[in-house]
Amino acid sequence: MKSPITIDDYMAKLAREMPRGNRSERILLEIECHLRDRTEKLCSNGQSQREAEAAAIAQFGTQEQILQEFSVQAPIESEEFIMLRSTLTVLVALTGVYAALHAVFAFPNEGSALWAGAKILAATYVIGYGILVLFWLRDRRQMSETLRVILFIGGLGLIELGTANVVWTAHLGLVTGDWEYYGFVGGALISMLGALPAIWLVLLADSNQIARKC
Amino acid sequence: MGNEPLKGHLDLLVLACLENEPLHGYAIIDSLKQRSSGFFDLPEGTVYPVLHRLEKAKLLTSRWSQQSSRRRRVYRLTRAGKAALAEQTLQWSQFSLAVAGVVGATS
Repeated sequence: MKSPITIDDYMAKLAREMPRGNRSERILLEIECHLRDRTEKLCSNGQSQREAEAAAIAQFGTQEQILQEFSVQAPIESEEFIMLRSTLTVLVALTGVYAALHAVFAFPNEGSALWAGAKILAATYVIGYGILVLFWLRDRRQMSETLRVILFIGGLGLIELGTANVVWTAHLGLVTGDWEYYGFVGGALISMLGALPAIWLVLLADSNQIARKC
Repeated sequence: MGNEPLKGHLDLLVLACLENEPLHGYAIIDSLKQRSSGFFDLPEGTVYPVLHRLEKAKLLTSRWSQQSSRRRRVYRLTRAGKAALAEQTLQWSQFSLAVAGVVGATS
């Protein structure tokens, strides 16, 4: 006859099957505490320790049920996912600041107020977009549909702005022979900022695959 | 009747259990059973993902508490959680009144 499952067995299997991440240790502690509390209660009602542990586990649900519920309701973010997000957050912040400074100081100076205003507008656009991307990286699900559309269109705009900057810098280089390499870097960074949400989604897909393998 | 009707209202029920005092997961489940006279008897483990989701939505906060020999995660309603509870309670009252009106009219 098969012996009833114990809390130690149950927890060991759950720990093996749970993706490692930001809340996994806490979840395991909460569940173990719950099972031991329930077992104590059942023992105080006259059940043996083995019977009580098996009953507590049966009332709690299978590991598969628990993991399924967590994956639907409150997914555990894997360590790789958190690292990836932190890296991208720093990248977005640095890129945004550099790209904004580039727009203000490195775009050609035409001397007109209109052109100066356009440069400030471009810098504000870059910074605003960077903030929006940071918000998106923090919690995509809390973002409204309107903001998602702005993020998409804004990203396309930045890619265009960055590309135009690179093309213009290349044109000047060809005409004058003065290759301003910072113009290429600035343009590339502006474009990259616009493309970051798409890059993030691609990396996220990989990260999810990693999490599933854990 | 099973636990299917419970699923759509679990947020409201969990928030309601925490209205008067902070509780840990085990106590929330016991409160849910006692206050429903045993009617809500779902797999106990399914409440924890709900608690984590509500915390992520900033409707709850939690902290570790050392009670007897064990550390327990105690959950507490936030201000947003209290507002959500009030709103969901009102919606539920309106819904149940409407259902009672329709069902009562046909019986």
